[in-house]
Amino acid sequence: MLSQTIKTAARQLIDPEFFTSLEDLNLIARSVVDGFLHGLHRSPYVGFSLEFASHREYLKGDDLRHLNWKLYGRQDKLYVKQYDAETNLDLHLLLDWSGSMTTSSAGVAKQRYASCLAAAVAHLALMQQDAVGLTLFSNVIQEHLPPRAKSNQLNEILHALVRVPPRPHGESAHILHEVAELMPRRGLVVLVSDLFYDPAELFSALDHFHFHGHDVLIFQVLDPLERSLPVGGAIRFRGLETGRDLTTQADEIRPAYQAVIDQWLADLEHGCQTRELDRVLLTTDEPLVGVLHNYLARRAGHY
Amino acid sequence: MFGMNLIHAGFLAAAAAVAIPILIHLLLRPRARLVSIGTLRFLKLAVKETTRRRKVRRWLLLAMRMAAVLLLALLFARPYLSSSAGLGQDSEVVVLLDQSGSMTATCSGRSLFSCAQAAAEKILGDLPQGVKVHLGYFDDRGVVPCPEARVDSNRQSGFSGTDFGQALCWARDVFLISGRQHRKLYLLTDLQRTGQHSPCKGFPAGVEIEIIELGKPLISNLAVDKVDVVRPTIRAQEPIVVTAHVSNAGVLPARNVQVRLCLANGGTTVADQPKTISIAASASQQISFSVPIGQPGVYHGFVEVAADDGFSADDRRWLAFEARGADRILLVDGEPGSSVFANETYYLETALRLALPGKGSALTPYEPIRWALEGESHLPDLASCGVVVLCNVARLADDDLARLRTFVDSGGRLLIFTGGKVEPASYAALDQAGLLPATVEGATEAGLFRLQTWDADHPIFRPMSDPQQGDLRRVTFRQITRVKPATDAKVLAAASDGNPLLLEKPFGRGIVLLFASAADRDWGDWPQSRLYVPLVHQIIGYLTDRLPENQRVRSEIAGPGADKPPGVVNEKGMVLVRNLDARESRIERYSQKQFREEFQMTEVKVAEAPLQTLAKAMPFGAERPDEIWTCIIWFLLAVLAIEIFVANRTHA
Repeated sequence: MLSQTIKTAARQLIDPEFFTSLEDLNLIARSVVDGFLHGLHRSPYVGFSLEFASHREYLKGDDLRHLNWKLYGRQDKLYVKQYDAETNLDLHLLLDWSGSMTTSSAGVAKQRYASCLAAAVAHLALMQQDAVGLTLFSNVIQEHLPPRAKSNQLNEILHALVRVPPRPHGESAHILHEVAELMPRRGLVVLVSDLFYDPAELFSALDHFHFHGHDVLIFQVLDPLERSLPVGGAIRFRGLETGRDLTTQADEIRPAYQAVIDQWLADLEHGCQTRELDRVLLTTDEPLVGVLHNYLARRAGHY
Repeated sequence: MFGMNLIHAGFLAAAAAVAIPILIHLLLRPRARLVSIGTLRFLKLAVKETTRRRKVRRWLLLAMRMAAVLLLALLFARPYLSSSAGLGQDSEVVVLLDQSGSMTATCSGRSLFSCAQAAAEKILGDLPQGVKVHLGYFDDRGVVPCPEARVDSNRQSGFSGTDFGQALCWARDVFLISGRQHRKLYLLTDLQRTGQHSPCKGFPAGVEIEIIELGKPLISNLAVDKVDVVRPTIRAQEPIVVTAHVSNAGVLPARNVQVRLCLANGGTTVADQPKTISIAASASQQISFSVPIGQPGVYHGFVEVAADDGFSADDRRWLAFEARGADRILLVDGEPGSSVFANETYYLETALRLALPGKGSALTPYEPIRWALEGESHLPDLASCGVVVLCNVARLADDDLARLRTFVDSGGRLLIFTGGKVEPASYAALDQAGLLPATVEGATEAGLFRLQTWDADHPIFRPMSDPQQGDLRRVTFRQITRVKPATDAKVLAAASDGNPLLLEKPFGRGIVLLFASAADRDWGDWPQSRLYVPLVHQIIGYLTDRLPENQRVRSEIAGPGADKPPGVVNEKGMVLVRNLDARESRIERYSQKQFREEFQMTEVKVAEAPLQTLAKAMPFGAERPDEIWTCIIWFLLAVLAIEIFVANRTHA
């Protein structure tokens, strides 16, 4: 078994497709990130030194230490200096690497979509000198890269995203408790998953992250097939995590399926709102650039 | 209440096409394609929620499609509603089926009786629930009711005559005790006019009578009506003659018709004689066959006419007879007269030579031999005689007495007539020999003695028990012989004064009869009575075993049913000849109007009669006023609309 694994890994090292995928992911991440204005990325944490960013008018309650007295002298108005705080941020990218993430009815698998999303976020964060870590999990932790801000961290992350295959089983959210234990320092946790977990288990795990002081951002990635069941006729559905089949008439169950999904998403949304978690619902047919733009705009408004 | 019937019931076979939607569903069921999905959790929930609804829809869709096919088949079968108002819980129906011999006639390859069975079955099947039904099969033997009022499919037509009167009386009695308001009689018959019916005087008011005439009247029918054996007595150089009456009931003469006699004795064919005759229209003709028979025995066979008509049951008539030689009757004359007419045995001999009317032959089966016993003469040899008759014999010599005793003891029959010469003293020897059923006590004084009482159950007197056949009390005597019956003797008849007149006594294997009066006119004019010859024939017939009761061959009407078909059979030592009732060969029929008039049937109009009459009068296939095809079409359209509605909401 071990020798088989080593052989597979060695083959991947010289596999042109592997390197092509790796390069593609890098390019995708760069192109996605380059599409944003750097100013839109604001640290979620307030800092007190570092680089000046801009001025704004004084508002009641501002710290008088940040008043620009020189500017007051010239313009007779009170302005407060604003700085980009030294983020010192640990960004933890948690990617659901279970079999359900291989669904690819729209041409792009959820796992691929999640990889691109994670690469883009990692690239964005590293450009801000943040430490970025990566954890791939299914029912076990398949890969864990501790947060680092070094220059080759992105390559490490991209390499791991391409190299590690997904595992079929992963319907339990208990593994997130183990993941939480791997991240002792407070930071930003970005969870990319389809969230096909039991809601109680999921929120229990997310509470665990909260307990460690992490801020949690959830990208819920769904395939269009899972979102709205856009297929017709007799379909033999095969569950990617269990391998079991279910044959039915898709057209007939679509309304009921839609209702079930909507209810499930509503429950998730309610749970997230209750815990002040941000959850962004994505489907793999949505352009990734727009998703990041919308998210970062919301993130900026949040802080 | 209504019952649905179909004009073209055969189209219902198209209802088998209901299998088509099922086959389409099974054969064209789409193959499910494989699609991978992250989790089945939500699909299972959705399927669980929709399973029942989808099943209902699919079954509903299948039911609608099958119903559409069924309705289409029903539409082509053209259903109509037969109103049966008036029946039901308040109705009583009697169905009478004619099972007489004429119902074996065929029409379109089926016997009239099977047509009647089928018609009765349809009538019973169309009756609504709750109707009290009586079903009976009738012929001239009466009505055979079916206990469960169901058509007995195993029953076959009989060979008996027809008696509508008995059957209609039975139905009338049923209706008389019925408390139901609506009563109806179905009479399924060929309306054969046989001419003999029991009286039946009408039906209670309100009884509806429907006569269903079966088949069509025959235009020709040749039949062997009657077969007689004229001379069943074997005589030298004289053949036995079989006569047959062949009738032609048709309106056209029958020319060169072959009539054939087949006769056998055991397994040996004695005669197979074909003859050709021509018979005028509506006439009958007698034909004779001479069969030389020399050996005694039972002969059986048939006379058959080669006819090509619709009624074959009467083309052959079976016969059987016992041929035997003539019986020699030794008449011992104890008082020969001066002339033939004055002989003591004259009347007796004449009576035995005289054939009774209706017996078919001028010769009797008896061969009387007169023997005058005078002076010292003796009796002749008795070996060839069957019966010895002593007529006013004064006395017998001892050797004659001994031979006579031996004769009777060995099975011979002895008949003794008394007279003026019979004295107690002279007959004491006979009495002591045991040959007298009674002790002679002497002649009575002159007077009037009437035959007063007789044993009506004895074969001798059985035919005369009916006064219409002759009143024996008119037989009178001026004088009789007083006798005292022996203990082992039986008094068969007595005079008006109580004196026994005819006594019987068995002796050995033989029988002795004593008639206590003279056989001639010495003691009365009874030989001139018209009962003399029949009575003599009965007495001699009894002694010679020629009475019908002693015959081995008997005739009866065949049937009913297949268990007793026409033919000759041996049963319990008897030879039974079974034939169709000859009256059934008549082909005349009543019209329904004549029949109703004959049996005083009044027509009762019921409410729905016009519609039913109109429907019956219409040619087959024409549109009936009570058809419901428009309802079927609307129903079909509704079913199709529902099918389209459900199909649009049910995915393949």
